[in-house]
Amino acid sequence: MSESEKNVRQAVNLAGVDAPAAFRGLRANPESPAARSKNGNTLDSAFDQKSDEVLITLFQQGDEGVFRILVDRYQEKLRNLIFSIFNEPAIVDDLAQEVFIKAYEALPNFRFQSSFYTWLYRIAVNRARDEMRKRKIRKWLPLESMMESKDREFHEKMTTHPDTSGAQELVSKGLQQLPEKFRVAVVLKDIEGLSYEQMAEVLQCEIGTVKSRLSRARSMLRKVLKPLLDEI
Amino acid sequence: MSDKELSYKLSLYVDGVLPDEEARALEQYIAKHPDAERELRELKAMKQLLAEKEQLKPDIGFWTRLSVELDHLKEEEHNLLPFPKRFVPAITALGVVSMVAVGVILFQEREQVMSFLSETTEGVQQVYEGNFLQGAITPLLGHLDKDNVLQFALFGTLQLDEESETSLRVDETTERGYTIEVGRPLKANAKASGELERNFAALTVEEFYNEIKPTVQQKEMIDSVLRLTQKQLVASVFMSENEALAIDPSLPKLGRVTVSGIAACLEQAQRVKFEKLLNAHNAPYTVVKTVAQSDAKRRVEQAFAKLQQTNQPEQFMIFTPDTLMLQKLEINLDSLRESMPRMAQRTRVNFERFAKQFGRTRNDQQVTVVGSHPMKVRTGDGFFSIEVGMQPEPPTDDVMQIVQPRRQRPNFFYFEQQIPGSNMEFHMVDSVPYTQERLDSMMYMMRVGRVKSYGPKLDSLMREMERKRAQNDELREQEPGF
Repeated sequence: MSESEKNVRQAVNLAGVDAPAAFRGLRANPESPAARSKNGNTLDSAFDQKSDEVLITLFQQGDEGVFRILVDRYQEKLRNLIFSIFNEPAIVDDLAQEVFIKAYEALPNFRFQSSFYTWLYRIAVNRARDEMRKRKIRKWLPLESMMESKDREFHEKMTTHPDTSGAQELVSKGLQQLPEKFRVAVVLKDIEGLSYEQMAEVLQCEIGTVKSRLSRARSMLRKVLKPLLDEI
Repeated sequence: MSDKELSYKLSLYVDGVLPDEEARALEQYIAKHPDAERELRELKAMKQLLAEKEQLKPDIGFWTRLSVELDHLKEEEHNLLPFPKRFVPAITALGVVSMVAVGVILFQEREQVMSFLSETTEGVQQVYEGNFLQGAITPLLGHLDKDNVLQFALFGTLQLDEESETSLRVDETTERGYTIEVGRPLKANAKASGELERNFAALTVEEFYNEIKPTVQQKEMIDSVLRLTQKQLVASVFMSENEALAIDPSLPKLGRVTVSGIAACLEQAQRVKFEKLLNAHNAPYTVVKTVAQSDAKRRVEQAFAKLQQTNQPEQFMIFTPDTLMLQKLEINLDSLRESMPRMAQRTRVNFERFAKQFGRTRNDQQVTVVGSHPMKVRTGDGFFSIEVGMQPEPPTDDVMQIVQPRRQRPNFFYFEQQIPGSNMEFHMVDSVPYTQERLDSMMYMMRVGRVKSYGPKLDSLMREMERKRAQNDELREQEPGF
């Protein structure tokens, strides 16, 4: 058992939660607090305020019902992460479900060596990469050629519709022009607001790599969005 | 400062992670360089745009859909594993420990294990080598017509190959078992002896009908009997590509079943004629003339039921030039039917060689116990005979009691033997002189060749006969089964 895991288990005990007695068999016992939070609309604030680590410990002790609290806590962030990477609302739910199912399967082996948040994001990013490879979303063109030729519609919008809602759409589309690893870096930093350390955990690389990759990604995106940025 | 370095530092600067000292130096640089200032401005604007990017609204049905998927997942896990998932590590560990334990035991007992494996390997090798039927298997009796079947039923003789005049002859004798003989019919001798000629006169179905004069209905029934017999005969004798011969051990009994079936279809008066016909042709069976007429229908039904038992025999007698054995065979007759038209020529060529080889290698006096049956083989020039010592159970069916074996058997096969020291030869027209009974029924035909006086030679021949008789008496005492 790692030190962090010990601390979490100690925290669970200090909080006076007899996890095995109180939460085991959430589905079987409709009177349990977690079950009420699932079945009714009154989320138990005591459980809602528990840290991810406490909830995970409870889950590992057999109370699978707390998984819903984790899902509720992160589903919105996760769905938006996927949406930002793909810009396709239609696939967001499916991918988010797959990510949570993977998390559910892997959670019994979670060792508290990173935060649940970054761990979940890592699963999501890996799944997104797989999906992109599968769908061969590699339509990134040299920036000059893109600006010159094929995506004229995009170019026209960039130059003629600098209003806010249009700008959001153009930013999303401009993001899609970036190669996968640069796009993910921009999404994690500028949309999701992760720190460099968190990004390094999610992307499983060094902080220096994160910095240089983000710098390159921003340069690429700046060139793509230059007409829009000039207007602004 | 290069463009790349500037972009890198500006990126860190907008994130607020550039060290203070570097940040101040960068700010001074930006103040002096409008391009750098513009890039910083664009970076900030871009960061702002990204931060304000439109977000998806919360999906209140997300958990409901996810929980359904999770439930499916749990169900699949429950279906796949016969134990709770948390026991997987323990059970895996137990499996590994068990495998190690078995490995240790095998290592400690390696001598016995190696010995067992060696014996098994030898056994497998023996089975492999014991697979005497190799290559394509051909049914030898796929060409039979109704006349051939009748010939078999009445006389136990089947022509394997008309051109080479090779026949298979079976003889059921309730006293000792039965005999299977393969060789040439005695046509040459038949011409020389009027008495013998009668035995070999083929009886066609038409001739049989002319003699018995059955009604139309009886004809149909007898035709059905012959067809059923034909069907069984096709599945009874096979030859493989390596010239091994496989014969259904129950083949000799089929003739009697067929004759019984024919007899069951006949009226009393017709049976008398049938018996005369059998007697005239010296057939191996005799028909009981007086049976209760009231049971006729039941007997016919019994006869058909027996003939319709077309189950393939479990074991075949396998003959190769140097082996005689019982072996289980599973033969797909349907797949063999296609090869039947090509069978005749193949059989002629292969069988002649087979018969010669078999005759060379067999020891006449040797008794081989195959399965639970003692078998004795006798060979001559162009024929061989296998006598199977078997005590068949007496027939319990009424229909089988209509027909009884005739003691005296017809003489179909011959071999020639040169008398040493003389230029005389004799033809023995019985192939299996093992017992006193057989010797009594043997017929010798003397044929004088170029010698002018045969008196002393005849004495020599008689001495040879006495010697054989003594041998057979001795043999009978040793082996009462024969």
